[in-house]
Amino acid sequence: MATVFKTFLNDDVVTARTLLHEAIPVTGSLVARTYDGPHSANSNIKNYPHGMFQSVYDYPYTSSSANHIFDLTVGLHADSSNYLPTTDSWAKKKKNVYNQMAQVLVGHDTNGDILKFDQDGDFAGSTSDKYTDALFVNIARLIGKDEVRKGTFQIRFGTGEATGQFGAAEAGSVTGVNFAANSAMPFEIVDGATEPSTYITIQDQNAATDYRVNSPAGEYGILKITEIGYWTGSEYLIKNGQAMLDLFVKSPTDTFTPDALRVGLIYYQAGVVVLDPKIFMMGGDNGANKTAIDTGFIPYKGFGGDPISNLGIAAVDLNGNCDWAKDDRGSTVVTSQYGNGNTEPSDWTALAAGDEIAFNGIDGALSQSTSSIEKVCNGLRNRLWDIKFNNTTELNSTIYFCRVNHNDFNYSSNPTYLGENDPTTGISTGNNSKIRVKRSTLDAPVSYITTVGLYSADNELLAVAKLSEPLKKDPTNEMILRVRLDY
Amino acid sequence: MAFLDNSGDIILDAVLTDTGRARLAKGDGTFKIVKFALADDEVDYELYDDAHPSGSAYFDLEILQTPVLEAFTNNASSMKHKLVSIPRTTLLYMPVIRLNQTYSASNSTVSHSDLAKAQGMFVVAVDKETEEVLLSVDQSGTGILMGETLKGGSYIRLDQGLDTSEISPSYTIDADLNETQYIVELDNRFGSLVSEANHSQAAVSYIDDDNIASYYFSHGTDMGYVEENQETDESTKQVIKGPRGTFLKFKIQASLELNTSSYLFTQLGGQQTWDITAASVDYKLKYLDSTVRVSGATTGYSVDIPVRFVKLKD
Repeated sequence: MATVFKTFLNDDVVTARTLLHEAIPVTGSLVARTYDGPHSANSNIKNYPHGMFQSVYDYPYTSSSANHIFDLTVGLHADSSNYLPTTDSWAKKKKNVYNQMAQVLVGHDTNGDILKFDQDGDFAGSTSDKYTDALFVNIARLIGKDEVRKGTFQIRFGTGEATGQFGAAEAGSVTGVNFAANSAMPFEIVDGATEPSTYITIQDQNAATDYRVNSPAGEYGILKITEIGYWTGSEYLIKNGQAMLDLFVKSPTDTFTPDALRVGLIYYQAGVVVLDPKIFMMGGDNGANKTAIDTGFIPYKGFGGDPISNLGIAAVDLNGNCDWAKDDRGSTVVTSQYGNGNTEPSDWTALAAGDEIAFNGIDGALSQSTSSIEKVCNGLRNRLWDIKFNNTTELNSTIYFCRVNHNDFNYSSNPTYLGENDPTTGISTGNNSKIRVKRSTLDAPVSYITTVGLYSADNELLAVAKLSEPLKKDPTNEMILRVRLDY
Repeated sequence: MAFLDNSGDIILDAVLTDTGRARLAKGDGTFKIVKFALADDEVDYELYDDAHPSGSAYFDLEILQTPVLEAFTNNASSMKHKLVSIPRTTLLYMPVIRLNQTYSASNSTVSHSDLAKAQGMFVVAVDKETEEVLLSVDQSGTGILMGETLKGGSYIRLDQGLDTSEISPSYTIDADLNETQYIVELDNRFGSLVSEANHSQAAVSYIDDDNIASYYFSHGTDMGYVEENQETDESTKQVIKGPRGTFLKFKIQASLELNTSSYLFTQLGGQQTWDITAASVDYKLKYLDSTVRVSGATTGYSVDIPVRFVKLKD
């Protein structure tokens, strides 16, 4: 009996689950410098009339070729010192953003109140370790896929003195900061380097084995500063998550609490990064007593408050004194340049409206009455050096083993399979049923497989697979074609 | 679709068809793969050169170099030519299905010179007025299917068997080469199949997402559609020169939509008209062209029959 179908047996079909990972690099130049800035027709940055968030695309967003990469927004809790509803016209929207994100990502307490983002994920512990100000990077599903792979996330920001500008209009609004016109990067680059002179690296280090599961939005990890580079490639305040104690702490035996390096959270399945704006509280203005080199990486809170629990760990000693071990060139020791004690340097210049473009302005901008969410996002975006992570796609597969035995599928119903031409004239002999690939009955039949069709019981073609080249099939061979359908 | 990269390892590019996705979306359990088939749609076996001077290793060199297209998601576009399993390896002839236009005048496609624009086709007159106009051109009704009244006119007949003069038709075709079930596919928007004898409507097996209706006709159960060809002479009425198997015959009834509306003619047939003259009167007909595909369920062989649906222009 001739047949064109072969029925699968029970052991011909198996299911499998595969996790597929892709490396996703997002460069800062793409985000902030390749295309025109916001409000340009050629911009890859999309702002909305409601002003609640900003979208970043990989191409001018009006093009159908553009892919959504991530959204940026900023949130303030009502308990934040930067929440100033009487003077900040954007305060309510920032609070709404915070509450919305916290509601989804952190959840509610037993009273139904929205919880705050907790620095270590321990809601039963300290009540003071909350992020009441938060910058959000919401990764699009297009690149985040099912989840961000734990332990692979890295984001870097330039933290040097702002020397560049991102548009004449915004340059004009900045005061108190010495901006150079049309710099390639908006944060300091020295000696023709292509990288920012000072930068901060944030990672979910060790999160593959150390993550939290007490979020209603799935698993999340703790983001920490793992590197603060100073003069790229030569000196570090922090490297591989460890302070360079011999450089920046008075005594080599001094230690610091790693928790001090916590600067945010990453929700893997939700694809949301929560960042503490304090990461930008380093350096600042170009005051009379400072050089561009001196500024740019001193953690703001290192000057005040508890240095152990803040970012200033690398720049201050355990007593809270602000001491420099070395200057930028690595030789001259400049001690107590800004004076000792728990006070900010006297020449600290107050921020002016619009200073969010300078990195310190991001935090400062949170308390500025004119600092819209868009402006804060602009500042954040222009400080971004790059983002790297691996995404994860969970593939549930069904594998069909199409077993082709020696006596299966050796003939074809292809119309060209039959026929006979006169070898001399090339004209058909009218012998329309003659198999072309056989001269006599002793020759083995031959067919060539290019396509595998998977069928339902009622002969409907449900899936089709193509081989990259024809496979020869004759009675002397057998084969198993493994067709995997992913869902 | 692009070609698959055939520079390295053999890869298999698999996709769900549109029907597969539709069934998956239904979630009613109809997405269940139970069997597979193989096909060689791209292969041209005429490239098989068994007289190659360099020897048998070169016979199929050109076939093996055939580039293969990526998979189509349209279920109707793939698996056109299936491979066939027949345990015997000694076959030298395979059965074919041939459109029989010689059994009687009623089996032929259009041949009248005044209908030259549809020569080689079957023409389905979708309403009574159109039937009358076409019959006034060719009273024999050759190639004309009466889509409304079904009375008179032509019907479609396909014969199956070994089309070779090397074997006498007096021999009985081997049982494993005898086609016992036919699948007929027709666009369900245009028409449906009816019996040639009593004009009874055939049951549709299923209609896919592209509106292609599939009909299954089996020998022994669908009397009036599939019959055994018992004529063993070398008559000119037969198109199968060798041993004969079964034959299939049917008519096409125009759909109610084509019968009552010009919408599909305008949408799918374009604005072109077919001008004919009958009894010194010039008529303009709207038309749309389609194909009826007939496949052997067991032998896999298939034939596409061109069909033109026509309607007198308002």
